[in-house]
Amino acid sequence: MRKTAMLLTSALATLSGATFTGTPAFAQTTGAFAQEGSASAQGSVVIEQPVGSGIAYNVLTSALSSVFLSGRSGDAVSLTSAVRSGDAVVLSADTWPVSLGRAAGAPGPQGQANLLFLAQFN
Amino acid sequence: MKKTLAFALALGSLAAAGPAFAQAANTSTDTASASVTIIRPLTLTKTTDLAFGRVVQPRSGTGTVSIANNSTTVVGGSGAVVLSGLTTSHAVFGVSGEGNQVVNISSPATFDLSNGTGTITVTLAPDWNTTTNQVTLSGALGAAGSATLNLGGSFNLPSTQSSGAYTGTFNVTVAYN
Repeated sequence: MRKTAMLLTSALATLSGATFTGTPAFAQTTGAFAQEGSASAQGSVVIEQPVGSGIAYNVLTSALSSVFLSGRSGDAVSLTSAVRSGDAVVLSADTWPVSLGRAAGAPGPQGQANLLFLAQFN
Repeated sequence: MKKTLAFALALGSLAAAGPAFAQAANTSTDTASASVTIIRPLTLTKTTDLAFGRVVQPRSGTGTVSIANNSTTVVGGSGAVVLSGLTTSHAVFGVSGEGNQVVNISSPATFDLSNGTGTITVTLAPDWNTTTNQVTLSGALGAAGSATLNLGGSFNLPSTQSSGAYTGTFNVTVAYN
């Protein structure tokens, strides 16, 4: 009877192509240790170029030659100033001249220049 | 053939007589116990991606961008400016399995975001103990347990970085201890 059981075990090992190196209990423990789960997450960011505004001003002559926005062609910008309110423009170039209601390059009386405006890049 | 059968019969009688003779001489009995602990399969599910939103690069130098593992607010520093308009979040994973079981976690320290030409290396900031890299699932043995894994991240943003949309993926793996 014992011989029959041993032969059966050997036959099973041959069928499965496996070699028994331990008891069934050991095999179960090994299986539980290997059980795992995996998942992946996506990371993302959109990098934008800096935007802003600038002026070209001659300190010797007190001449304001230009005011401009600096961004990227296609940027939509809302402009608000003392004489313009809520104008929306789309930049046709990376640098875009701003008209504040007075021709650029025409300096006002010294000490009376008022150059305050808000440019919001949307 | 007849001879073989006779030999087999003789062996059979010896085998039948043997055990009876041994039992009469000495009998010993002992008991072994058997046990097994059945535990639920372990499952890891990504709940939320790591989204930094829109960031304006600095005009010069190198800025910093980070999001904490318990926050949805992206913080920019050293010239990097964070814009609104896109949803931002830290990464969240859900672990489910057998209650009160210790789980080993494996995740990369860094991963890359790419726009096809440029890359940004993000350093991950997990909310679990990165010395042991283990968490214990809630609940008790015999019931379902769970845990939540949160990961923030940070990266440097130089003024020379190409603008555009960057994406990348990273894997997290959990296994029963």
